[in-house]
Amino acid sequence: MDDALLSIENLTVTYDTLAGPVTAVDDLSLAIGPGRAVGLVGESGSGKSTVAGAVLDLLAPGAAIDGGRIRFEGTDLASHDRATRRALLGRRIGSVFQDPFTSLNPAIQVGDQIAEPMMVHLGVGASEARAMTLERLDEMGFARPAEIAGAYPHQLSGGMKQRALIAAALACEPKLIILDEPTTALDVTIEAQIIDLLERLRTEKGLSYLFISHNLGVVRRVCEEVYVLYAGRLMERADTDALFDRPSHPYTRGLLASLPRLQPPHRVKRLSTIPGELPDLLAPPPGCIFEARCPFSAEGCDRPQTIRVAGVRQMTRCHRHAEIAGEAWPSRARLGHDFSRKGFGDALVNVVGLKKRFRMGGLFAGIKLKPGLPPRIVNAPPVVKAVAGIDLVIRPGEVVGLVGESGSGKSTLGRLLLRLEDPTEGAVEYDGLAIERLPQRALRPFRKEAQIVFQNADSSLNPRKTVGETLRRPLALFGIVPARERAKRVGDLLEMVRLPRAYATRYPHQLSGGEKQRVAIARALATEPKFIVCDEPVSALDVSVQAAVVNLLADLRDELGLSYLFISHDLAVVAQLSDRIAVMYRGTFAETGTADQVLSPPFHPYTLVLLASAPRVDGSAMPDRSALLRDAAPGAGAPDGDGCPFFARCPSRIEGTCDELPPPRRTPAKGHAIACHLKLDALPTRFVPAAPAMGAAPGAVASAGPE
Amino acid sequence: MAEASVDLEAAPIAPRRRARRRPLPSSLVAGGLVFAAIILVAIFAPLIAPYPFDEMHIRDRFHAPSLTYLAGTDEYGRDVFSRMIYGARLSLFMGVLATLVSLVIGVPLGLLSGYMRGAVDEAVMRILDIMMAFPPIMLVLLIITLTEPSLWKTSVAVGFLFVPAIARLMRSVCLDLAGEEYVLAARARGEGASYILLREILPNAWPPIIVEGSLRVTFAILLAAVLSFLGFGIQPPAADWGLMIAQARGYIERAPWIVLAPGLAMCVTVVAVNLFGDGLREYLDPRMSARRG
Amino acid sequence: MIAYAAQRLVFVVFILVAMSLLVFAAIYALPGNTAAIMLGQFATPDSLAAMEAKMGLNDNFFVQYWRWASAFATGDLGQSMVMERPVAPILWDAMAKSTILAAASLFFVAVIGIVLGVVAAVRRGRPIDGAIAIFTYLGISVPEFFWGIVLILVFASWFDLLPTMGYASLSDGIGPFLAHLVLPVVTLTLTLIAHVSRMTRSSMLEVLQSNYVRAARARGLPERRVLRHHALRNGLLPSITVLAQDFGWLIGSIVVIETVFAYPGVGRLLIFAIQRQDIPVVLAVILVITAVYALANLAADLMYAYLNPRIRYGRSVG
Repeated sequence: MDDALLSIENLTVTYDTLAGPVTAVDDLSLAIGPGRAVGLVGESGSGKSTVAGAVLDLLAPGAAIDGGRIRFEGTDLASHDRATRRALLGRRIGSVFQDPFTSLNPAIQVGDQIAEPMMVHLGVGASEARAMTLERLDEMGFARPAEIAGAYPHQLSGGMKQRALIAAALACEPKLIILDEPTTALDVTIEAQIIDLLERLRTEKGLSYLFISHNLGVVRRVCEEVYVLYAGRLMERADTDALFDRPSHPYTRGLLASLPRLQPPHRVKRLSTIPGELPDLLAPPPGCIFEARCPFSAEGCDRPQTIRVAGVRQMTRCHRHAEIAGEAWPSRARLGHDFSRKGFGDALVNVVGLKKRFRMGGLFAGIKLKPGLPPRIVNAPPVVKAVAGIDLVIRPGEVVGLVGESGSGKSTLGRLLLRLEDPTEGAVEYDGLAIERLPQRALRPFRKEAQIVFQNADSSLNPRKTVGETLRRPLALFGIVPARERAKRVGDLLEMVRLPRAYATRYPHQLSGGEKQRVAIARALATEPKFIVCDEPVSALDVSVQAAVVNLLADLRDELGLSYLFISHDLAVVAQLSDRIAVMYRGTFAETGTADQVLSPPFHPYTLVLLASAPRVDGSAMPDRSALLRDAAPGAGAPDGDGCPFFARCPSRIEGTCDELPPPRRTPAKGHAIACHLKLDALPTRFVPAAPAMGAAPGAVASAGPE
Repeated sequence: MAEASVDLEAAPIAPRRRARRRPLPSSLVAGGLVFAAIILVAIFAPLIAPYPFDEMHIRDRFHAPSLTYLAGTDEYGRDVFSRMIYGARLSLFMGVLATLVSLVIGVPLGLLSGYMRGAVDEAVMRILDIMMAFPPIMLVLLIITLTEPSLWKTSVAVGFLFVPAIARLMRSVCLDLAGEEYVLAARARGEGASYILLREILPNAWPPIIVEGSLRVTFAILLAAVLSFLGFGIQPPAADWGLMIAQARGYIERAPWIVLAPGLAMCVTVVAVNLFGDGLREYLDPRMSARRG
Repeated sequence: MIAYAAQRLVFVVFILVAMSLLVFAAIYALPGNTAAIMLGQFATPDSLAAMEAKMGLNDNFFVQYWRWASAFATGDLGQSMVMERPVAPILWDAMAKSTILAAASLFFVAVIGIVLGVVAAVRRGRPIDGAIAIFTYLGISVPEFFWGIVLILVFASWFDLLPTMGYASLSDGIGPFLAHLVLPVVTLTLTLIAHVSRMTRSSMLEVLQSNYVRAARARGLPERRVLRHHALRNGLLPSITVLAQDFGWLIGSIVVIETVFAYPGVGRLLIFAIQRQDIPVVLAVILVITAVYALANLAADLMYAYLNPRIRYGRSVG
């Protein structure tokens, strides 16, 4: 441990909260050797970001280091005064934070923000710093570094911002970089790009990483060893392969088991889950902190415990790790009723040629002044095409998954189906009733049948209403049950979403995130709907909670025969639940088909990019995807005219065709549609190229070129 | 459903999350107590004041503060302390009335503008822009030039002056809340605009209204004092703080207490209300309560 | 940026026209018309009619408005009824004197207010923050005329240091000129400083807690540099808007302060005119002040846009 670049010894950090002191990090020890990539994994509330704050001397007000030492290159950081420590950290340790959108100073040119630490720490002059800045930006893969250096942050996309921030972190050539959820705020294709960049930089420069993340797939790809944190305590430490293949701690097993995998769904299978929730950190249990949620817990687990050796370079904090070594996390293979075997019948929702354009800005936004003498005023209303021509059928009992990156228009489409937005063009039929132009009053029967569940558990419930009041309102509004039976029905609804009846008297702030989302589902169910739009319903939830909510939605579909439009940016979650999948890009469907058809070849080039970008935990060979991820700024350089919206980012684009003409609809099989200029036999067919060592991987895609 | 009880996902009854009982900020308590005391004084002025506000003691003109006249007497021998107490009535009346006027007009305007968006929003905002393009006090002076001054008119004019600020605040609060998912959920079940505005949005919008309203009371008190001082507000012989200061200006060297006493009263009132408002803001600010360990 | 400036300018012109219409309509609708006021209570109906005809008061609203507005635009601001002189020279003279007051106070308000706000934000929770808070509380808790009177009491009556009334022109010597300005400017500054410093404090606090300041600290930049180079640029941007807003209140305060200190500026002129129902003067003063205010806001908006790269450089690169 002595040769470690950074070593954290018995670190304890407490927060002073109004309710009392909370131990956010409890007796954590961690070491990062030169050139190593170390992952720090945990769900929200695990204290993983607090560790970064403690190392970088950037703890939030009210937080204090209560014990332990942090040594960098052998020297205790606490032995320096504050200014020296900060200068040392800034020069020798780079840092990249979660939110690239707010981490660059909006008032300073990007290049100056990268050059600044060089001038302060290395004492170089302005012109030399500028040259070094351009060099850094070039290393980040920017095609025109000078243009980026002269830009202000708002002129860059999210991925470009994060690359610029990595350049700033590397400004003084540090040996260690602390990455705190560096890709969490980014789309999956951008994430893949950043991850590839980080991997390349590490090998080229011999960097060490402390990689903090909740995303196990990303950690598996980047890190060599992993620390798993739960409720502020280290649960397990192991080399990456060992951790993912032979997890010794039940919590690690639970996390891995509850992750949805990227594979076609099974109507009757469910995800494994970790029941319960994080313990109250104001009064943590004296023994194992995971005991209450652990399926392997037995007598004696409430004894105080320490971390102990569990294998080769593997340590675990579990009393029973030896006894349970071979046992898998209990899976929940619940046998549901399989509708799909019988087929789905006629369309419940039928969408034809749906379009939605938004006009941006206020009254004067559409008026532009054309320079010249005299200046001319031209009318150029800025219009965003959120949905640009969609055809879609959803049948009774069917789940249609809708995948897309941010800005693809997937939420707008969901809202159009419910007439929460008025369409600009096209028709939406529900159960034979054309709803796209009906006045709100005439929509009442439709409103009862079609409901919505949203993403954000915190904003989905009115904080001033109890759960009971929230659930009673739809019952009263539609006269679902007589007034005297409403209290009972509220209880029934709570049970339907696996919550205790007593929760009716609680306020939203007394619920956890997963519980809130269950109440939101119960509210949607209260009107006895047939169709529910689920708009990213699990995106804001931790892995262990997410699995339970996905299962609940699957159960309800089977019990009540519901249809869903299931919207998500996460292909794996969508694959878990959907009978059919639609892949959306900039307002149009790139590919539609059954889940099997979409997840297996032939692919639309964009589907392929998505699949290659998705982080995976199963340890299958990591594809070299660099050839796929070209120019991955969302929407960059998309043609304004009729061309394919994916043109600018497409690895197989045909210049002169794809940017001019709308892509034709290819149908490789019944029910499978791909909007692409590539002929059927030219469509890419594989997304996992042969072992990367073969070196031929990129060619697999490139050769799938035009004609 | 029977197997739900053995379901791994069935949530056990989790302990109720601790209600975040945060201590009241000291500024809220101190300001609130003083403010409450001033309100009581204003209501019970006739019982508390040692003399009627307009009773002249000709022999005791310019009497320095003493046990008989706690804050001395003015040029007509009227008890300054009693006039101070009665002055609280007028000041609070004007402050509260003006604020009510601005809330009654501004809150619905802001709500509508924020929720309806589109043409309604544009129209309302442009009208507010025009109102705000007047330097604040000019609008009131214009109204007063054209009509006879009176207590009511002054208060209403001051209230009008605050409408744009209140409406804009309300609009931005409403815009924020209208994007909340529980509001979208209400729209998805076909609730009307009135239900959404009154039952979903307004109950969550009142904290900023209360805070802004309490601060507006102080502005109104000060502005009303200014108008009285300039002679466009309450007319003599009423016991108004601003008017008292204006009338006593000439005697400032001879009897400074006639000016200082009402000034002090105003200062205490406004500081108390300001503290109250700031404390309330601190207490109700969601960012403060969202801070977690 | 140019388009933005043009939009704002169009709006200012629109505001001025709207304002003049409003003001003129108010006078037009007034029960006793100007002729009646000019002739006083002993006017006979005949003389009244003659006067009305002479002044064109029988023409319709728009004709009258057009006549008045076009004269106004060419610098003929009308005739004072009380002083029986053209309004323009009186108004411009008073404006010049008020401008001195306004410029000096605005300067001190901006400098001292922003410094206090920044210090309070940086030293948040320390004694100096508390001291500044108390000082600013006092500033906004008492109307400006009270401070004026107290200052007169202390510096003029008790210590006999400074003149309390009137104005001395530069030709009377720089000493008396400045001496007459001290008390009014100090009073105005005291009143307005509170708002500026509180707003600056809160915007600075927000910036100091922002991710990019955190990132700058993580890069090991010295705190002083983080503050100067990263925080101030963004934290002071809103102060421009606050100062523009406060300029409106400054105008109001100047009216009051000029009355307290018998300073012969535009505020005193306005009060004088209102008290004597000298309608043309009131109209002219209010319109000119509104125009100044609208232009000041325009200037602040443009400055804000110029200093804010988001507005200045719109397009994206890459």
